[in-house]
Amino acid sequence: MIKMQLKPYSVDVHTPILAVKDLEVEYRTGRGAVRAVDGVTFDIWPNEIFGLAGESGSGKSTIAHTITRLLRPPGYIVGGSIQFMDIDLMEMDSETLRDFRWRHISIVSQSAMNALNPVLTIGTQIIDAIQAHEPANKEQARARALDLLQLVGIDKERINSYCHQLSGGMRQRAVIAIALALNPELIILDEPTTALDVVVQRQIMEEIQALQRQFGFSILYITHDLSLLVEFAHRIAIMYAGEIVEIAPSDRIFLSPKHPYTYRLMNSFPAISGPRQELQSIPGSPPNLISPPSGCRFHPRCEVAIAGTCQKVEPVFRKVERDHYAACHLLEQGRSS
Amino acid sequence: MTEDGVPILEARNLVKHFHIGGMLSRQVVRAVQDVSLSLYRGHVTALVGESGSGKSTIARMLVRLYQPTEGEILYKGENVLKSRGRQAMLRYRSRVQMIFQDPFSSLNPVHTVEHQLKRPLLIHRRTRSKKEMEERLQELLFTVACTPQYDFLSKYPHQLSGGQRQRVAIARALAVEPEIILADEPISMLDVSIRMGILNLMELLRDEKDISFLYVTHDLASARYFADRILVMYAGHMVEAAPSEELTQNPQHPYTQLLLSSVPDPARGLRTRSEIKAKGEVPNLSAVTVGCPFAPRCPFVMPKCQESMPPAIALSGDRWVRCYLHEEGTAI
Repeated sequence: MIKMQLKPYSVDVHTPILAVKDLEVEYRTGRGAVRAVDGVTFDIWPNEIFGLAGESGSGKSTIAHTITRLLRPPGYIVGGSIQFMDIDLMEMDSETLRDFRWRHISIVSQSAMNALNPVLTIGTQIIDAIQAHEPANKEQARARALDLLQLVGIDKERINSYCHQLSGGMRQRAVIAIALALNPELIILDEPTTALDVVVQRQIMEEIQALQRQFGFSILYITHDLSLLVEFAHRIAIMYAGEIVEIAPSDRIFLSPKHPYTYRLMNSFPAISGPRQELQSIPGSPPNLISPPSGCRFHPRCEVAIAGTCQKVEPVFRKVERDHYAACHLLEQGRSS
Repeated sequence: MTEDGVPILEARNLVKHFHIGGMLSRQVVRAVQDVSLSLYRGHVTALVGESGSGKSTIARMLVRLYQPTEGEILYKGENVLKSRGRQAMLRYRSRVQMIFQDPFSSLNPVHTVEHQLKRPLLIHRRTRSKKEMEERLQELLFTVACTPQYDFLSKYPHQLSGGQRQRVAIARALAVEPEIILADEPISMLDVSIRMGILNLMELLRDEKDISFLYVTHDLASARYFADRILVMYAGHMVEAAPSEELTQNPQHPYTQLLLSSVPDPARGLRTRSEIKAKGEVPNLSAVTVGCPFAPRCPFVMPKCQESMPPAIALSGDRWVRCYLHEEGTAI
């Protein structure tokens, strides 16, 4: 097992690592404001792999950018709060933020493997990340870089390789090594394996899982691939049109989804094992957020919508059973979808 | 398989080499090596593999966008590679059409849906009057469930959703009433909630119009759902062929086993991890290799695997596998 440095903050297992509350984010475009994230609330606990699933345009990547405070105009935070342990991330000035980011929260995005600097070796890029945040000398940083490469399954000799000499999977591993470099409490993985083939995807996911078990950091895993999340995440939040419609432990999402959208989503991709079922896609397409549907945003595509209610009244996000939350009028009337 | 058992399109021993790095370079990428396959009427064949396995190259050779380096393509028994010229190509393409992965770039952004659908009808002279043309456009859009049709005809691609664009691309392929449609990753760029709609539409076309599909994909689960038969590609070679259920529930080639155990499966959860472990990555296609391309990664590798490529060995139940582990079977 490879030794990593002591954590700078002591993690309390009884408080969330990250608490996002009523978050609202807008993109101001020429055609009006798009409310990409509208009143999103969730917590991520120590040691947890928290999955955030949704289709393109549902606002999941915007959340990742907002948490790391990487949101740039025309994107604006309009309301809500983000707490990292006992620190208010919204109040943080850019100087503190620069030191905080990467040391406590790091992010790996889908295109990260293409964001490596082509004229520097991957070793140099890992060492740079370490030295930018810690008073390590070159030898210490290099030793650490070697450890990190080994952790993510890259051969030690590769420390002097340039990214064009590495395959897509290796480059994404190198980026994960950089994300782990400062031993952060939270790692945000935004579609980290979408551009990769399934075999490489599984290898990387299993490595991430092993590392998570070894070091106990938390993960916010963002993807459109619900079947992947059900396998890897502890809890899953389902996003639709800027809102979270359901949060539950992954086996509950898989076995007994409460929101009609989750139910339809779980039934819209074929399974590789078990009986072959006739599948249907969800009618219509995700709404335009410049003028989202009134009431429940899913109602125009929902087959079990209650006439007169769902199109007028926005459903309340409420507890349906232990650890299981959903926003649907059917649940308020005591009926199950 | 089909009742008469005669393929409408057949590829025999296809080879495709790409020369890269300029005119004087000798570097060759061996994208497809000795691949044979048959497509039957009203039958869906899936070609499954990872990126770089050669599956799209095969589809492009079959629609004659690429000229094969070696091998034959037979349409109803006639070698189409021998016939050249515009007329021959037009005739062939009116039988064999293709749908591409990205409906955002396969439709011309400066033209309306009406224009995109009229083009094949005009080029292939499928309609005799203005009235007939209009009826045909209505009918095509109705077939792919883009209704009300008048609403779609005047729209530009950017005004349509991804799923609608792919439907228009399918309507365009249908315009010439093809017998065969080669669909290259037709759903992988679409949102998950609408993917099944496109697969179900293609299934309907197979059932109602008896169209033969070649479904090129990296997604084994969707291949199991849509295809009758699955062919697995690895590094330019076809390594296994079997009816979909048999292939996905009882894979025989070690690579197919690796691929299957890598597919996310919520039902399996993490209680069992991938049963087969393979090290390393897909080989470099520029190197000249002897033996099985999967040998360097294969957990069951034997000395002879590195010496020669195993032949296609027939197994029971209309399937075959290219692997020495099954040598007690008969070579075909």
